[in-house]
Amino acid sequence: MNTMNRLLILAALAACLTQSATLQAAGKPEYASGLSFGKQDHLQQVSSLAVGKDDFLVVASMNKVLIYDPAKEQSVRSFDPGLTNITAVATDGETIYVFTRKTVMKDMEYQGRKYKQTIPVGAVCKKFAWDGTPAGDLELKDLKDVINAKVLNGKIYVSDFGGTRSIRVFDAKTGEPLASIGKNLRLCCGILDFAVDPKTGDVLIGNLGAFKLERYSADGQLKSSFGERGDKLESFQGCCNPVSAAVLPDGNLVVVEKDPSRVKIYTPDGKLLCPFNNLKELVKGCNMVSVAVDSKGRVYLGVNSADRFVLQYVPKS
Amino acid sequence: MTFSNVFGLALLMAGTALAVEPTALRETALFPQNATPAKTEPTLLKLVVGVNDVYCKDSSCKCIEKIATRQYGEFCRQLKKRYNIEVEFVYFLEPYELDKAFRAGKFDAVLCKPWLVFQHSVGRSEGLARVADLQDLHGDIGLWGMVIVPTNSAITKLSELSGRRIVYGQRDAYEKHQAALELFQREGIKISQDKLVEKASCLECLDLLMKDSVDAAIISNYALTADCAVDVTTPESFRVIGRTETIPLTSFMIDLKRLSRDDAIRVQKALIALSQDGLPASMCGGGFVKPASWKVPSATP
Repeated sequence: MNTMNRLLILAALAACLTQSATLQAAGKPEYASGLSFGKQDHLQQVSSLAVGKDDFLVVASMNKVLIYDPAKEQSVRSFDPGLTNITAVATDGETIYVFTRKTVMKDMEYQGRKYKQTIPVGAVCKKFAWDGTPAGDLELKDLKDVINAKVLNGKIYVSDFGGTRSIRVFDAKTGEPLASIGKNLRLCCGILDFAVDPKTGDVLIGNLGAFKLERYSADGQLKSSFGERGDKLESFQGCCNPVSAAVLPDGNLVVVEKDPSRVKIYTPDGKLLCPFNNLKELVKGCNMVSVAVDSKGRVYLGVNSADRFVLQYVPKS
Repeated sequence: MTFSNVFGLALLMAGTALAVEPTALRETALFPQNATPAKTEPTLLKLVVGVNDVYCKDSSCKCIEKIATRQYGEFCRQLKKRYNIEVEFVYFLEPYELDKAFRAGKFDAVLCKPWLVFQHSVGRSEGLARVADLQDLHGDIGLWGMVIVPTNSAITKLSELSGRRIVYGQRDAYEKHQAALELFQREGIKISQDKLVEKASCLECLDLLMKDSVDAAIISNYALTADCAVDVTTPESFRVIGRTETIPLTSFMIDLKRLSRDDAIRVQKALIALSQDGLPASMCGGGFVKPASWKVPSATP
C-alpha cells in the first residue's frame, strides 16, 4: 500500500469518526441545571407550573400565583386569585387559568382506627388576564376533581383523579365536556398527571401503577406506551412511576419520576436519550412533581423537598 | 420456624446467573449461641443500617400510609438507652437503591427482605448473617407468593394452569420467581416460555391480569393489602388458587466482615429482648424474633 492510499484510508476513517460523533451529539441531547426560581420569594410549596407569554414561568404556590422572567430568579409580580390550595395553573396566550378542588371532610375507619379524609366533590376554574386582573369564572360541567390542568387550542384538559380517574377535556369557552381520555389507568398516591403534545393533540398520561407513559390520540385511543419497572436507567423505579411528563419543542419527552427523583429525556417512541445528571431530590416519598417546558426547550421542575423552589434545566446546545 | 429450601431446582429451572450446584447452600440465620440475657455493655456499639421495610412509614408508599405505620425512632432510642447500641437508620423507598448502597459498602447492617441482598452469591452478602426476623403488623414473619386469578375466571385450581399465560416476578423477587417455578415443577404444571411473562412489580402483574393479557399472576402475599395495589384493586377481585413456600419477609442482617460475631450476637439479643419486654407502640405490634432457618446458595469456590 503506498503512502497516498494510506493517507486516503486515514482520512476516510477520520471522516467516519467525526460523522459518528456529530450524529451522536445531535441524537443525544444534554441538559445542565440552570436557575432556581422562588427561593427569594420563600415559596411555601410548588403546587403547579405553566409557561405563558414570552416564556414567562407561572407558578402556583398554595393560594398565590407568581410570574417569573426566565432570566431572573425572583418573581416579577404575583397575585392572589382568592382560592385556597390551588391545585393547578395553566396558560393560554395571555390568559391564566387557576384551578382548585371543592372538598368535604369525611370520617373514615381502618381496622378500628378512625381518621378524617378529604374527599373531592367538585372543581373551581377562574380566569385571569396576564396582569392578574380577574377575567371571569368557568364552570366545568360534571367535574368532581382537578389536580392538574392544561389549556391548549380552545380546550381545557384536567386530571379528574377523584371522579372518573381519567383526563377530562372541556370546551374552554363553554365548559361543556368534550372527551374523557385514559383507559385501565392504575393510579395511586393521588397522582394523575399528563402532557398534551401541541403538534398532534395527543395526550400523554403517566400510568404510574403500570410503570408506563401512555400516548392517547385526541379522541382517546391508546396509540402507544413504553416503560416498565426495573433497575436499568431506561426503566422506571420507586413504588409507582412515572408521575409526570412534558413535550419538548422537538417532540422528545421529559419524563419525571418522584422518589427516587429521576428526570430523563426519551424519544416520542420511548427510547432513552439522556438523564438529567446531578439532579437534586425533587420530592420525598410519593408526591407529585410538576414539570413544564418553554419554547426554547428549557425544563422547569417543582421541588418540594427540604427547600421549595423551581429548578430550571437548560439544553446545552 | 424453618423455611424449606428448594434453591437448586428453582435456580436450574430459572436458568439464572446464580447457577451453582444445588448442594452448595449456606445457612443465612445466626442462631443465638446461648440463653444468656441481653445486657448493657459498657462499650458503645454503633451501626449504620439501610432500611426498606414494607410496613415502615419512612420506606413505604404514601398510598398505604394507613397501613404502613411503623416508625423506628423510639425503638432506636430504647436500644441506645437500655443496651448502649446506637443505630442510625437510612431509609429507602426503592429496594434497588438499598441494594446498590449495601453493595457499595455503605452499611454495617440492613433491614429488608433477605433475598434482596442474598440474591448476589458473591460480594458483601458473603459476610451477611440474619440476626433477627421482623414480624409484620399481625405477628407473622413469612413471605410467600400467591397464585391468583380473577374471581370470575374459569380456572379454579393450580393443575388447570398448564398451557396458560402466566405473569410472575423477576429473579430478584424469590417468592414470585424461584419459589413460583418450584411450585409449578412440584405440581406438574407445564408452561412454555412464550406464555411466561416476567415483571418486576406486583402492580405490573396485576395490570396484565386485570387487562386479561394473562390468565394468572403470581404476586407477593402482601401486595393486595400493603402495597400500591390497594389504590388499584381489592383482594375480593381475585381468587387465590395456590401459594409458594414461605421465606422470611424482613430480616435484620449484619455484615460480619464489619462487625464481630460477638457484636452481632449482642445486637441480636438486644433486638429480641427489647421486642419482648419494651416494644414501643410505634412499632405497631411487630417486633424482632429469633431468625428462622433459611439456606441460600453460597459462592462458587
